[in-house]
Order: sequence, then C-alpha cells, then structure tokens
Amino acid sequence: MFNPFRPSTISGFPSGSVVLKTFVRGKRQSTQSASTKKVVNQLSALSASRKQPKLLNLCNEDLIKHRTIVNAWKMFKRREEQRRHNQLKKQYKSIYNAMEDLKQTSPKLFELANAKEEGKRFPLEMRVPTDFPPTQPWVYNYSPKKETK
Amino acid sequence: MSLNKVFIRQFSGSGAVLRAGYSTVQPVHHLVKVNKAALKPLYQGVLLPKDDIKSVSFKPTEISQDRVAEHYQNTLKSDLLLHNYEHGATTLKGNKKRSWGEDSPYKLYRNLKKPKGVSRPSKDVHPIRYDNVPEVESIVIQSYNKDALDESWLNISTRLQLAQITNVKPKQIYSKANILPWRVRQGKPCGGKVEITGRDMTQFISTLTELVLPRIRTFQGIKNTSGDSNGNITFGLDPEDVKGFPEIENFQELFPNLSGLQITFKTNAGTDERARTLLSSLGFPFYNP
Amino acid sequence: MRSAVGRAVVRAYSTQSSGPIVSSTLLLSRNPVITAELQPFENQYYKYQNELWRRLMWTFPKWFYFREGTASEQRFRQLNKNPVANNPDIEFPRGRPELRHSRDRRFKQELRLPKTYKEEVETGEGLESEASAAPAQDDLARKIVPNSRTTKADENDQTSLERRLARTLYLVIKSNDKWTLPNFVEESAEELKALHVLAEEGLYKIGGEQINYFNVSNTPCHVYNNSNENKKEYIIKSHILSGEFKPQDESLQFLWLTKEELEKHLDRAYYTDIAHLLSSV
Repeated sequence: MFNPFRPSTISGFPSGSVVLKTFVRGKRQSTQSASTKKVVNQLSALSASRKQPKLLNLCNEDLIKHRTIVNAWKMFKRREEQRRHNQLKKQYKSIYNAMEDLKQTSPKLFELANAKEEGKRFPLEMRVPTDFPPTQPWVYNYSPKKETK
Repeated sequence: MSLNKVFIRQFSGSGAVLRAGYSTVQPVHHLVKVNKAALKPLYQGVLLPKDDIKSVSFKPTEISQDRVAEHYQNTLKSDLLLHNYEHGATTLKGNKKRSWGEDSPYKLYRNLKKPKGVSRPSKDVHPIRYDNVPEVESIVIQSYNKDALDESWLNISTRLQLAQITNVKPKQIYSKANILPWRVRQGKPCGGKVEITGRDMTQFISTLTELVLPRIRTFQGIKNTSGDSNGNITFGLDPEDVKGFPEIENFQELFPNLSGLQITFKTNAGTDERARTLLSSLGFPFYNP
Repeated sequence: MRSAVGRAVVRAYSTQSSGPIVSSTLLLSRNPVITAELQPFENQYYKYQNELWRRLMWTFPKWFYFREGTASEQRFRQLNKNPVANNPDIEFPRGRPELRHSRDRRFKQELRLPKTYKEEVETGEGLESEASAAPAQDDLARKIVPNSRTTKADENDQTSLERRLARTLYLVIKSNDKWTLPNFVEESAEELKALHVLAEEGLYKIGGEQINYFNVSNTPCHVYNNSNENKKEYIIKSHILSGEFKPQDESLQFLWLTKEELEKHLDRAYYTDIAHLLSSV
C-alpha cells in the first residue's frame, strides 16, 4: 500500500531510539522513488494544502460597497430576464394565434404546418458567436448540393 | 410499584390516581438530534450562503461574458420554442405507481403498487411552452479507472485529469458490488465524478464542440439512440480522445495513464428527441448507428 | 362611428372575393457572428468579479508544470520574480508577507507564462523589431492578434452580410416603394404547398439558389393580417448560414438591417405587429 506520508525509517536503528542528525555537505537527496514522486506531485496539484489564499476580510465600508454592487447587478439581471421572458411569452402567443388562424383558414395547410419533424437537427454551421470575428467573417461561396432523388 | 409513574404534587388528590400511569409518547428532546458543535461561534462562517462574500467558500461565478449562454438566450431559446411547438398538444401522463384499492383498510396505507409493465414510474411529458423551453441544466462527467481497484493511489491521476478538464475538484467514486472475477470489491475507489453547472459547464461545452470533437477522426457524433428516455443524453470518450483536451494535450508526460470519460448532459427537455435537438443546436453532431 | 363604417366596407370587400389570400412571409435572419456588445456596467461588474476570483484562486502549482532543473522552469523563473520574503529583521508597515509556495497569500497571484514569441517588453523597441521580423502567417509560434470587431461593411453598406457582426440582421426588400419582409403568394392554385416550402421556393426565385439556409420549423411564428391587400401573411422563421442573397431581378432592392433600423424602414403598424419576433441582440 502506498503511503506518501509514512515517515521513512532508517534501517539499523530500532524505532524509538535517538537518531543523531549528521550534517551532510551538498544538496539533500530525497529517498522517494521516481514513481512515488510523480504521484506525490499529482496529489499536490489536486489538493488544497498550502495553496489557499487568505480569506477576504472586508471592512464595513467595503462590505456595503460590495453589497450595493451585487444588488445593482441582480436588479439589472432580473430586468433583463423579465424582458426576455415577456418576449418569449409574446412569441408563444403569436405562434398559437397563427396556428389557430391557419386552422380556420386552411385546414390542409394547418396539417402540414403542424406535422412533427422527428429527427430534425440544427445545422453545425450555426455556430456560437466568438469574441472576435474570423479572418473571413462570412462564407459566400456556397453551392447547393445536387439532390439525389 | 411502577417506576414510570411520576408523582407531581397537585391541587386535587385524585388527579394522579385517575390518570393512566404509563405513557407511550416518548419525550421529543431525545429524538431530535442537536449538533451543538455546529452552533459554536467559530462555525458561523460555514452557515452563510456560498454567494455571500463573508462565507469561507465564496467564489465569484460571473467572471466574464458567457458566450454559449448568451447564444442560447438570444438565438436558440426562441428557435427551440418554435421548433418544439405542437398545436393542441396535451400533457402525456407517465406510467405511475398504482393504488391497491380502497375496499380494505389494509390497502389504504400500503406502499403503492409498481407501475404497469415496468419497474419504475415514468414522468409526465409536458408540451413545450414559453416557460419550459429545453435547456441543459448540468453536465455530469464520470471517469472509471479499473486499475485503481488494485492500487488505490492510481486514482489520484484520474481525479486530477478530471479536475484539469473541468475546473472543478472531482468526487471519488467507489465500487458498489463484489464481482470476484473482475476483482471488483465493494468500497474500493475506482474513479472520479464531477457535476458542472454555469460557466464551467458552458466552457466545457465550447471546448468539446470547438476543440476536442472536431479533431477526433473516428468520431461520427452522438448516437441518435442514446438517452435515458427522460431527456438526459450520454456519450463516451476514449482515453485516446481525452488527449485532445487542451489542458492535457500540451502536458502529456504529466498524464501517463489517461482514462476515458462518460459525459451525461442533464436537460429539462422531458424526452430524448427534444434533448437531442437541443444538443445539436449547441453544436454536437448526431448520427444513426 | 367611423370605425364601424370602415369595418363594414372591409366586410363587403371580403365577401366579394372567396376569402383572404394565404401567403407566406420569410423572416430570414443572419445570426450574430461575434458576441454581443456589453454595457459599461456589465464590463465593470465582470472586471470586479474577475479580480475577486483571481484574489481567491489557489496558488498555481508551478512545480507540477515546470519540473525543477528544466529549461522551461528556468524561463518561468526569469519571468516571475519571487515576492518579498518575510524577513523577521524588517518592519513591514502594511502587514507581514505570508508566503506559501512563493506566493503572498494576501494578494492575487500574478503570473507571466513563457510565450512562443518575443514580447514587446522583452524586445525593448517594440515597433522596430516587429517591423523587421514580421512573422509568417502560417507560423504557429506567432503572436495571435484578434481581428477587428468592426468591418468595412459597417461604414455604409447595408446590403452586406458582414455588417454589424454583433447583431442579428434581417432581410428586407422593397416592393411597391415600401420596405417589407419578403412575401410570397402561391400562384398556381391546383397544388397545395406547405407554408415553409412556399417561402423557400420564393426565396430561391428572388435571391438565387446560392443560399444555405436553415428553416427553424414548418410552423409559422406569426400571422399578419394585411387588410389593404386582403392577405394573411404567415411568417416563417429561418436563418441564413452561408452563401449570399443575390437579387435575380436587377431592380430588386434589398437590405440587411438590425431591429432598430427596421423600425425606421418598415411601416409603423407593420413593425409594431412583428417587433416581438425580432431579436434585440
């Protein structure tokens, strides 16, 4: 069983006896093997030990400032959220109205418009916006594929 | 003389005599456990919510513009609403647990019967409206390391690899069963697991769709059959594919034994088909196996 | 009173013909190519949170990435000087440094990682050296300079798909001296075409077939009652992905406009009817 924290015992001395430290000139060499060192290294990258910063200890004035900022942000976000929600609600209602209308006007077209599109996927060309545009912002040379039917 | 009988001095002499001498009601203060240590003033910081700046586990989450989330909100959400719209759709009732009947008092409080034909109840499927447009709630990434069953310290490398990829410290997972031919023993650590939400999640999505998946030559896409029928889609990556993550690609000598990933997208879509459409809108390809 | 008269007139007109004409309107949009412009408050908040986040970050495990005794570790050490040590003989009026893994726990850790190219700070005279040795475009080690968020088309070309990259653009065409969304009516009455098919064929007819577009759904997202022409315009939503709208008819004028510009170009009543379909980003 591997235990990196087990103290390395020096052979020849029974445990408990006093070991006199002798000064050795030069760099100290560790007794761990290469693979052990690697695992210790990995564990040290993963663990929080000796890596955590000091806790924030804001004074009262800073605390009030921070809370004001966060409250303003929350209000800003809430308004945006509300606006988006209202717009989506309007969109939903307009889809509903359009379909009701179509049902009255032309039942056949309604059937076609309400047909389920199983297996429809969004195209991969519809990409997530990036922070900066590509060198060629728009692809112009598109030619439609020949339909094989 | 009964020891349970407590004599209290009262105004009437007959009160204590007429009362039943034995109470079956246990005193409550024996049942409710109070962890007095948690009430220490030292631990007040622990009780604060995590988004409070005074809390010990405070970590800012909105640290930069989130382009995937913005794209979803600005463009995809309204498209998904329109795409999933079905006129006159009603809620599809799931297969629920059944009552045993009410003709006998014994049936009244009995545990409900299993749903018909299956062992587990299924959820209702609601039509998509403006308030339940499908979205990815979180991503669970799990990594299984078989070798860690023998040497538990091998698991450190798996967990570190997960932490590097996701920016979240993973939990250790333990084997649940004893299977002797595979040398699986209950309680042995055998991998790691991370659940990511928010910015870590969107960052992971964009890393996958823009850097990792396009460079896997054999990758055709996520299978059109994948899913747990509740709208959660899972796919796997081989150890060879994991090398494509930029956090690992440039430091391959630090991660000698990589293990594969199992990635589950938890969505609120309700059905797998809707969830697949949602994932395809975020840039994941799909194919028919 | 006046409105009642107006309604009576319309009703008389509609009973004359067989009923309103069903037509399909295409809401063709170009999605944003780059992320949305942030408001100043958003920018400031993100900066503030980012600083807090950096302050509360764990120390970078440099021993893990830069193994001792390697050339890269030496380079890293050159770039990152150790912070001031906690010398017991020195008085620190602003608090004693608390070093762990050569990071002062009280502050955020500022790191400079070795780059594959020479930085201007190192080369001294930045402009001269850059001019003398401009890196080749295919050189992987070159410094990556992001492209400008504004393009040439932003100046004065409303027909270009490269304008206003951070916004959603919508296609409008000029018909009867009025800017509208392209609207298509079925000409042959014998076969019934679905609304989205009608819109697609109409688009190819006026804009050529060099358009890669994605139709979001068969379902119309809105109906606009055009009482002037006795038309019902069902709006079909779709996105242009690549290719170009090339008017097949020379006289056809078209524009790619944002929501705010649409407000100026479209009829007031028409715009207010469809405003909720348009993205404000």
